[in-house]
Amino acid sequence: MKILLAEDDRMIGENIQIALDGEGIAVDWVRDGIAAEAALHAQTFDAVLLDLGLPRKDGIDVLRYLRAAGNRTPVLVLTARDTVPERVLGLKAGADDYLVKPFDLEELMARLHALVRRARGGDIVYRNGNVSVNLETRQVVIGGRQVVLSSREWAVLDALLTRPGAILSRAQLEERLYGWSGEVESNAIEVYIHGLRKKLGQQFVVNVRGLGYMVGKG
Amino acid sequence: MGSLRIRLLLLLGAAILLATIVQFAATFRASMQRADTLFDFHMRQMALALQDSTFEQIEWHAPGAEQNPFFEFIVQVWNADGIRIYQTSSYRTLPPRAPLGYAVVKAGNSDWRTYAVASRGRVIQIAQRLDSRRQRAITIAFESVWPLLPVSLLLLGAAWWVVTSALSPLNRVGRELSARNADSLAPVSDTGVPREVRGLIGELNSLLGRLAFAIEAQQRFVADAAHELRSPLTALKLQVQTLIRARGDEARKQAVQRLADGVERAARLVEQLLVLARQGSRTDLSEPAGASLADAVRQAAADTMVLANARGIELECRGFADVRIAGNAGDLHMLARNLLDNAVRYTPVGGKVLIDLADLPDAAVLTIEDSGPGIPADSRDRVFDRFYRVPGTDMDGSGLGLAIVKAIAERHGAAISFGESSIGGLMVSVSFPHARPD
Repeated sequence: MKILLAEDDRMIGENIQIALDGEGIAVDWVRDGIAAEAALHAQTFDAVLLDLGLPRKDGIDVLRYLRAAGNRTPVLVLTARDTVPERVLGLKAGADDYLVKPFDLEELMARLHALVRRARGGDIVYRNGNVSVNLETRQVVIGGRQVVLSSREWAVLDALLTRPGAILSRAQLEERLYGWSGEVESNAIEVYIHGLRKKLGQQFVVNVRGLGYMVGKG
Repeated sequence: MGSLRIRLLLLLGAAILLATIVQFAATFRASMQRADTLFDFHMRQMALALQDSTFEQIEWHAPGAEQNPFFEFIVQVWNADGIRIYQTSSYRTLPPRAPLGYAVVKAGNSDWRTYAVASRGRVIQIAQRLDSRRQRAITIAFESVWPLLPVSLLLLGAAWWVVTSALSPLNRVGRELSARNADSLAPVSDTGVPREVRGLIGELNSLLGRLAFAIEAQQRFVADAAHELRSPLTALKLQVQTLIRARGDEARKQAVQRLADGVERAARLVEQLLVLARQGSRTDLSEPAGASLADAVRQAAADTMVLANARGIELECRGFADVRIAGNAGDLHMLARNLLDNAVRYTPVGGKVLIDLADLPDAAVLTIEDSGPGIPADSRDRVFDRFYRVPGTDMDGSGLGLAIVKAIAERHGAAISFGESSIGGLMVSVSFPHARPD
């Protein structure tokens, strides 16, 4: 999973990035409204964490621009503006959810996951053969036995489960896995795929030579 | 002072009472005099009317004749030999013969008013007792005086009505003000209010206006401050949670460092808010002996040294005049400190900051230049706004530094100007005009 974080406060941004990183979520962090628009124009994200008080271009304007361009990426607004009219304004401009500063990291994570899941649609639980994956609790069970994945392995699995039955190239997986700041090791994806296969079975992740990877439709 | 209405009523009442008393006395006196004159006239008329009469003394001892209480005038007639040949009444003591014309004579215990006229060898004298004459005069005088009383009462009533109705606009304004809740500072209506009171209401409204403006500014400041405190608090909250989640010594150490930075930042913001709030409330801050601008700048430079060294920025002093100005040393230090701090913070590592303090004929000028990126022209108007940060700046500024500088400069009558520095960045000049010797 990869998200765009638009937040001008260095300390707040830094800590959100560390927290999301720890969950295996790739973060692209921009510090102003213009940069946020450029990033949204250039890439696709699973979700946007948008601060409303951005310099150069207000978060609300970024949001309006995004929706006007037909971009349906889920947006979670982070703001210190907590009056009801301001919340309504944000939601009317196309925000999917709202968090008022100061907020808890736990709540941020929970809402972010809920947003992404809602956007993807479909079931919370993915089943394929004797493997079942709960996208909300992140529980992975194989043959009644719970399996523990590393955060990177989960990130790869999560990316593949966004579109079961579709092939994701290595570049696409890398993009989902790392923010701009993260360094990509050349064979990292292979290492995580190897780990997943070892834990969930060789046939769970299918390698289409020269094209990429996929998981079967559940 | 008590009630204006009661005061007016008392004063007017007293004036009316006094006027009534004076009027009463004057009228009474005049009536008495008129009655006196009239009685004298009647006496004379009577005497003249009797001139040609032949007087025949009848038996006046007849009972009843003396009993008539209305019989007040006494006629006496003397012949040429001085023998009384006629008298109208049987008074035990009759006034003696008085000089011709008007006179007052004493007979027994009573005073008599007399008029005597000589005619055909006789003297005809008319007499009236003074006390009964006065009695009559008083009765007459009272009759002419009593209409004054209802007139005075009418006047008192009119005064009460006039005072009450003239003061009613004031009462209305008072009621209007007392009926308000504490935070209503809307102007008081001056419709139907006399011109004299309108001035007062105008002043009151102007005061209310200024008060409303000050309160609004204060509320905006508090709202802004509360809003701005959210960011450092959010950062602190996240930093604490990051610390809790941190696994491993290295991660924990970093998280602790970040948390410490966050606390430092929140503390600085609160401190600056306090400085700004103090600037807004103090009225006179000048020290009588004046303050050394040079000392303030020297101290500020020393304070900034640590940060400058850490960022590899060279601080250089071009000119340093030993100048004193009228002002507050603590505030001047804060001003220089904020300007230097900004210069050092926003200048890239390895840059340069210049300080110049000049004592010109009409002003002391503090100039600080840096080799940083400067302030874009479109932001220069806004950098003095509270909590404004120039877009794209990376530092964790509170956005209050220049607001504080501006507040202090304004209190010292100093002007701030921006320019391009010869070393590439921003040049800020603060010019403190010298007090003119009056």
